[in-house]
Amino acid sequence: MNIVAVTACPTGIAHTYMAAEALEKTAKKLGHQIKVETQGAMGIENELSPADIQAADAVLFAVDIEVEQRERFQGKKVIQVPVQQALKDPQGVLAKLA
Amino acid sequence: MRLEHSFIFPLPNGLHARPATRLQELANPFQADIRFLNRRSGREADAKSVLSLVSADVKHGDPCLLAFTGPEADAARDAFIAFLAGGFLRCDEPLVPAPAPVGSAFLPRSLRQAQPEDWLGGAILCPGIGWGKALVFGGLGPAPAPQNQTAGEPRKEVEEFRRAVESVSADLDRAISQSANPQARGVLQAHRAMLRDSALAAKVEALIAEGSTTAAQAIVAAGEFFSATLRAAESLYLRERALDISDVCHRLLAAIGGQAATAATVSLRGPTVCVAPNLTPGQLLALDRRYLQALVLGEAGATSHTIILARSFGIPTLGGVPEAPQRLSSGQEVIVDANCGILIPRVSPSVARHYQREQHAAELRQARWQTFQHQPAVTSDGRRIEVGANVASADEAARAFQSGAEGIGLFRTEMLFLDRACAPSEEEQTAVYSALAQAAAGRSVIVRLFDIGGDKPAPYLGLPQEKNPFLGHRGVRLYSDFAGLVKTQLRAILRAAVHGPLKIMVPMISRAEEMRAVKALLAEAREELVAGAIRCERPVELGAMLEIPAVAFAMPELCRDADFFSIGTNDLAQYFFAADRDNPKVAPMHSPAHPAFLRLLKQLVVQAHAQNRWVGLCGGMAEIPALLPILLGLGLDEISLSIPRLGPTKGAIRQLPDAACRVVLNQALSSATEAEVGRCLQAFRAGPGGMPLLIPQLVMLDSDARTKGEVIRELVHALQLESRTSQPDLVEEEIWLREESYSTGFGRGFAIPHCQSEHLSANTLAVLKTREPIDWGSLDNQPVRNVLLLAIRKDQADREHLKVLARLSRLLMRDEFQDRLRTETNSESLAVFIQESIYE
Repeated sequence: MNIVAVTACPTGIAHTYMAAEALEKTAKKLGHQIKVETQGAMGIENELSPADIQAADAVLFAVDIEVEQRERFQGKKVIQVPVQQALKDPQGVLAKLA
Repeated sequence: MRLEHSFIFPLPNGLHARPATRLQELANPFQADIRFLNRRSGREADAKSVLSLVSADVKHGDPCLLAFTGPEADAARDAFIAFLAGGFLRCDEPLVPAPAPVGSAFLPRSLRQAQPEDWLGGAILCPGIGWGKALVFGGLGPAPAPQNQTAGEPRKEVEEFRRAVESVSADLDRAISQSANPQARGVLQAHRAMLRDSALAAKVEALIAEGSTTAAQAIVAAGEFFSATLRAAESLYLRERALDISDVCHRLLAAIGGQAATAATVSLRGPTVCVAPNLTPGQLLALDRRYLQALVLGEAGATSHTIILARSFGIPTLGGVPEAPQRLSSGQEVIVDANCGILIPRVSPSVARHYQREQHAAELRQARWQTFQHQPAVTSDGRRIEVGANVASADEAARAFQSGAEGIGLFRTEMLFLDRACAPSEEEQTAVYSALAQAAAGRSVIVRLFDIGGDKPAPYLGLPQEKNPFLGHRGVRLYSDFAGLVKTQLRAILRAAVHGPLKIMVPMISRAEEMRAVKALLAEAREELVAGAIRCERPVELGAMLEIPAVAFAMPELCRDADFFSIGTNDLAQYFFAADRDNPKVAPMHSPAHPAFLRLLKQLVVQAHAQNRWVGLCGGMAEIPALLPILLGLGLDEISLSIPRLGPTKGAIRQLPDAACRVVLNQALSSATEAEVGRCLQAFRAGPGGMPLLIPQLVMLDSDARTKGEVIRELVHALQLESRTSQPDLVEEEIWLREESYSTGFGRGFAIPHCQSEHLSANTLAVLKTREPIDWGSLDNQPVRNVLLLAIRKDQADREHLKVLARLSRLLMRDEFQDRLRTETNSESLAVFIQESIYE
């Protein structure tokens, strides 16, 4: 599966990146392709392009706050979970996308 | 002939003991009869009686009248007019800030978690924490004289009274000469003046004459009379002076009863918290300060002499807790937390543990503070700069040296000359400067010659009032008119210099000729001493205050007669920008951080150094922490500050790299505006002048904390110890607010508490490992033993640090990284490992 994801936690210092790391690690283990955009205190990094989003089979938001530039994802089905859940159970969260 | 002078009473605290003492001292030498009339209350007082003046119930804004009759009436009137317009305005104790409203105590999170069952709120009169057994005093008031005393002949009773006055006076004299504390001395001197007050004696003797009272009974009644007058005063300040009268009467009664001074009826054994409705200053002075841990008083007033003394001794004190004496019994273990403003009457194990940890943290800070207190100030890359103190007495100098001052950058001599009827004698001055030299024990001391103008209270100089005193006849400009006075001061300094090196500094220099003239006076003074066979063999350096902008263009000539310089930035900036610091409309224009002013300073330093002259700085600019890199960058030889700033400044210097300071100074010099200078300084703090994100001292691998609250508290204490914050309670609260979104324990025994705060001086990463597993409410419900705190400044858009922390967050999800953190037991190695990993 080709997955794109966005992570965003309240302070944007730590959990945003921890969740990104957890999702990347787990997705690779399960044989998926994944690109994770982080929205944190430094702004948007590893930004998802319209091409990335178009080509994706599934969109995941692991976020506690509003996603910036949400318009990019119009028309795509988005699964949204709290950041904690992505940290606690990344495998279960990815399973939801299937 | 009767002369009058009307005025509005200017002092904010009314006419209380200390200003009244000043007026009485001014009045006494004159033969004239001087009356003080309070037009609002209608009360009239004899200006030569402190008690009489205080009883006139004069408060701020009252219309008053002074009446002078008899010989010297005109001289007396002139003296009073000058004094009331000048020094009188300066002789009041600075207003103590209003005590915190009772009951609104902010308890830090960790204290709330310790769940004190019960606490009483009070006003913080002196901060600190005191822990001990309560000792509850009864009420106050003059000890009642034994009822069944029969009065002897009035003449005998009067004699007994006068004997008691002499005895107490001698005790007070002794206590004053032995007291090392200026506040305590001030209080005792006020009591002595009250004791000798003619109105007190008149009242007591009148009561004795009126009929069949003993001396003791008359003293009690007189004390009551004056106390009642004071208690009825409209001003809170005057009401608190009733305690001073009680104190004096207590002493008199004790003397009559044959007891020594203020009978120290209370002896302390072991750590004690004293609880009383109120205490006289004498009672406080009698308590053994080795054991006195804290005070709890029923009354809330912050300006009584008792409180002033408590503050000068640093005794944690709560006021406004009237129910305390009833709620507590002597012997009960209590804690006074006068940082939060509460009294805890029942110390549970969790509260005890909290305060033990608080006291331990305070001890660490104290120890840390002491390690560099007595070391010279050096920048992080090894440049030495002297850090001195600005003081006005030998006692203050001694305290300054204890607090880490390497020298006295400015010894102000005005208090020797002001508020008195005649100039200080050579003997008097020699004694003061000798005490100063001895306290300095070889360290450098710069004594500034008297700096007086028409606006200052030195009536014996007969200086006329000027329209524009700031730009007037003052400082060195007076010296040709008062050569005798100057030489007396110079001779005194030369004589005192046999005890240790002293330097002389001349104020208000605007041209080389002035220095030359003083140098000539100094030579004459020395010749006079030699001719009189008085010892003065040590050479004494002569320097100039740089405070008038003209000197910036006359430095080579000045250097011919000046051995050193000190820059007085307060006045220099006022004259430079033509702006009065005390005028709110133009105060912002008095801007030491303005590029033009910095260029002026640079010019002064460069020119002084070109002639090999030492140059220091003794103005308020030295006390602005943000400007410290600028002062270092200027290449000054010394900065001189007030005592409380010595420690923090020396600590801050150790963290700054001199090379980078010179760079930022150059950037500031080429800036166009003050705002631009501010931006240079901000960039400096974020970069070369900033503190490293991670230091080994903030890697604590063996914590005995048992709960999440204790871990977070220990982390913020560590931040405070390493000068990363001065508001640990607030940072603690911000960390907890983040925890309330959801726990930062992300599993496998790790937690990553973090916050963005305005109260941090630098971005900081701290690591803490606990001996015991901690319940953190983690995502995997497992306990935590490895904690990483990320503390980020709110205002700093420092991408570097955020990137690094993002990298750290990712690394924390990796097994190898976690394993290394779990197993490493050495702080330095772990700090290096983390540093290398995140800065790859």
